[in-house]
Amino acid sequence: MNDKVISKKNGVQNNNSKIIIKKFTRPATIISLGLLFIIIFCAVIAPFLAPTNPYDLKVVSILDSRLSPGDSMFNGNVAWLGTDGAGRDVLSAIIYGLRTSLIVAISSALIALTIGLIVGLISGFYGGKIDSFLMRVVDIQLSFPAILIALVLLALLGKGIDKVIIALAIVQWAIYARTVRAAAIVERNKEYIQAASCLGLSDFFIIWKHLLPNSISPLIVLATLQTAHSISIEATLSFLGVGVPITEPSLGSLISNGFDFILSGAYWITFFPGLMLLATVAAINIFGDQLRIILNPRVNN
Amino acid sequence: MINNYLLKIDKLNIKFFSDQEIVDAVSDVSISLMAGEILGIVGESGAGKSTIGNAIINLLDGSAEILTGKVLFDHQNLVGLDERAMRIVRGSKIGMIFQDPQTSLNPIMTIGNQLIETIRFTKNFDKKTAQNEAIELLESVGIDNPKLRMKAYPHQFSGGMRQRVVIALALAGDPDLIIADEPTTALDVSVQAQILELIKSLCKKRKVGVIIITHDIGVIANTANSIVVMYDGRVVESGSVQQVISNPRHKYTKSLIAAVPRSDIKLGRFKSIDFIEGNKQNYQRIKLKNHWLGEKLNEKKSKKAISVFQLNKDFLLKKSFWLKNRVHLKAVNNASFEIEKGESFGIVGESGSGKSTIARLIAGLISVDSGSIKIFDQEVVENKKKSEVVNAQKEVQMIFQDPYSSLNPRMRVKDIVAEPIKFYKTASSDHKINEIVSDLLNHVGLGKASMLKFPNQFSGGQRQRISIARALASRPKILICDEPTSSLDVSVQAHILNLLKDLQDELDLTLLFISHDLPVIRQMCDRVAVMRKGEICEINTTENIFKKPKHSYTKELIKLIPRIENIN
Repeated sequence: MNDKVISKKNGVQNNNSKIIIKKFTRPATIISLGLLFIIIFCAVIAPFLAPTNPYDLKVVSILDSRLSPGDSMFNGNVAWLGTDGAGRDVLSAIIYGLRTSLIVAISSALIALTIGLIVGLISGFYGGKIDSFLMRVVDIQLSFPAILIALVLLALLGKGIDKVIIALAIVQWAIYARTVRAAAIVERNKEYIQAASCLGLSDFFIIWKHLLPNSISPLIVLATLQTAHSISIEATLSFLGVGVPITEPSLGSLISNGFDFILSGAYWITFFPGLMLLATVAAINIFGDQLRIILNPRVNN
Repeated sequence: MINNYLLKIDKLNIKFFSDQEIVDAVSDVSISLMAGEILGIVGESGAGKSTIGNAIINLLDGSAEILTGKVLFDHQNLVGLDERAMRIVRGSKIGMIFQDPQTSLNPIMTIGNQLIETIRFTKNFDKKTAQNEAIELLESVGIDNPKLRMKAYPHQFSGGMRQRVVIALALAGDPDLIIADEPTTALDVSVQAQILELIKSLCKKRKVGVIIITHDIGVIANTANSIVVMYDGRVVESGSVQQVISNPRHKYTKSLIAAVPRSDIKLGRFKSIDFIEGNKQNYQRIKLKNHWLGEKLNEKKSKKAISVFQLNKDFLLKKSFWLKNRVHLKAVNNASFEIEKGESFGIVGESGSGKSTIARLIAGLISVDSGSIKIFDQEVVENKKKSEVVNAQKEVQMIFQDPYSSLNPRMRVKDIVAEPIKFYKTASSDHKINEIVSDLLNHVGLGKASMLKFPNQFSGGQRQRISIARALASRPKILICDEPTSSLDVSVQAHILNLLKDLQDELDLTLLFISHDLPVIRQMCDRVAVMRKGEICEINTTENIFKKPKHSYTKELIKLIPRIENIN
């Protein structure tokens, strides 16, 4: 009888992995995941992929400035997406800019995740006054618009990729902390945590071995969506001129770079980086949403 | 006379289809029931008893399918009836009572509105008549002041009261048949007796047929007229209550009856319960005396394992910034008792009586407000030396009520059991740890093969065995069992209780056993404390508590025990 029960349970488990595979093969998942892969791949191999190095001053020639898409440049290369005011190839600039954008977004998301995880776990595990204090800090943080805090921080810190990463991490940790805390409180009240403290295990050990693995799953989706969010915040900051330095432009600074030329008809300098930004953010967001559906056992279709 | 049955199930076959396999849930089951009769369907979880209940009202989930057989209700075959016709039958002819009254009522509707809605749907009454009818129904299920209570929400009722409301709802359509699926499993013993009595009297008064589905043959011994015993989807025995209980023919029925803890005499072990849990392999038990587990570590001279003196604990019910607005609940009020080394001490009481709180206070899981707890003469409450407290509390291990949440779902069984050994580095090498863990799992009856599995691959009883193995791995001297079997089937409970008794003998453990179930306490404990609303009413030897109860509350509790032995 019991063996039968177990085999039934095993069956259920296999089913679960089957269902997950099934969910992964939905069109929206495949498309978003594929797009995401391409984007990340392009960013990683940017130096090999880009036709020219847009920041190598030896290659850039002012004679090529504001060529429209498809025109030939002075050195014979075709500028598929045109060139900007300084004569740089827009396609190459986008590929390099994507790289900067992704580095900033992913590293800031990771830092924010780590801070949020630690704060959330401590808050959820200990409860009481520690919890109240930490959550009030989170409340204050969340009550200001992210872009405002980032602006103030960057005004104080100055320019530079590292400064942008720090600012974005500070802007985002609170939302991770709140999510982890909610999951941790649920797990904390389960009896296996009590059993662990009954065994006399240290608090650190319990948090690390028992609480963390069981409260981390909601973060997977959140982290994906927040990465998209930080790409757009970074783009906004760069557009406003307080983000990454002009020597290492991100998608945001490329957009702001071409902004002056829109009225004179050179739309491509702004349009294509903008399109890339849209595609990246949309791909990550859709994938995050799909991930939420995949990981939620209740959504079965 | 031939067609006098209210319900007749004829050779019903139900199978569950999944991608992996086809499971026979119900095979060749035939059951019949007359109006005004109470039929009990008994069997352990997975025996197919709930499937039959759901099949009658066509509420089987998608993967189940009725292959052959008929369900004749009032001469009408319910199998294959379309959803519309079935809804009428479900609402007005057949009522359901579910296990958990907490979830079977809508929490955001007053119970009055829920009743009125049901009555209006089934009987087409106007609002005023429906309201009067609802009040009458509430009165008939024994709810005081029904007119006032109509406006109350489900959370304002206690568990037993809520179950009464559920019964009222089931009666709303004036049904001919009521199916009660484990109606009292989630309730306290004292409440259980009242609910069963209510079902019995309603059945008589209204001439309805009742099917009670339960895993505990003791529950229905006094309520039902006839019993059907199910095992692995088949009916293994059926007949009148007297016949089945006093003269069981099938081996499984005998096991089931033997597994019900008796309240009249204390037996050493539950005997002849082998049929339960299938063809269980007997795993090599180890000689604990010569084993790592049996090593005598810092032997305690003290004869008192635990002494508790004037213990108090308040819980904050209503938070408020102002001290005077806060509302406290006295969970434990001036409790004092002593437990001798090697003794089994029981604490019994209804839910909310503070018995679990005492267990958690002793285990150091929550802090004490005032009073003293000594573990082997070592004060743990007001002790400045933290290491002493930790050492004393290491001697105490706990086994929890809910086997589904007491194991970390992301750890392998091996790692769960090895955790205390690794943390305190009490074994010399990884090889040794593995050996100990495998011996331990064998000893609690799980076998070596379970080491690499995850908790969700085990049934409730098996999980409880893992919990026990984990508790033993830190080599405790005191084991606190907080309702260790209350979420298990009676049959599995007997096995777990036997295991605990064996372990106590072999390892010279002191047991603090907490339960709401008096017969279980009777079988397990040498001395008992009866608790009510945070206070200890009476402490005495188990014999005296059961034979000569002094406190009026104890007398009341004893009186309410469902007794299987009365039938004999």
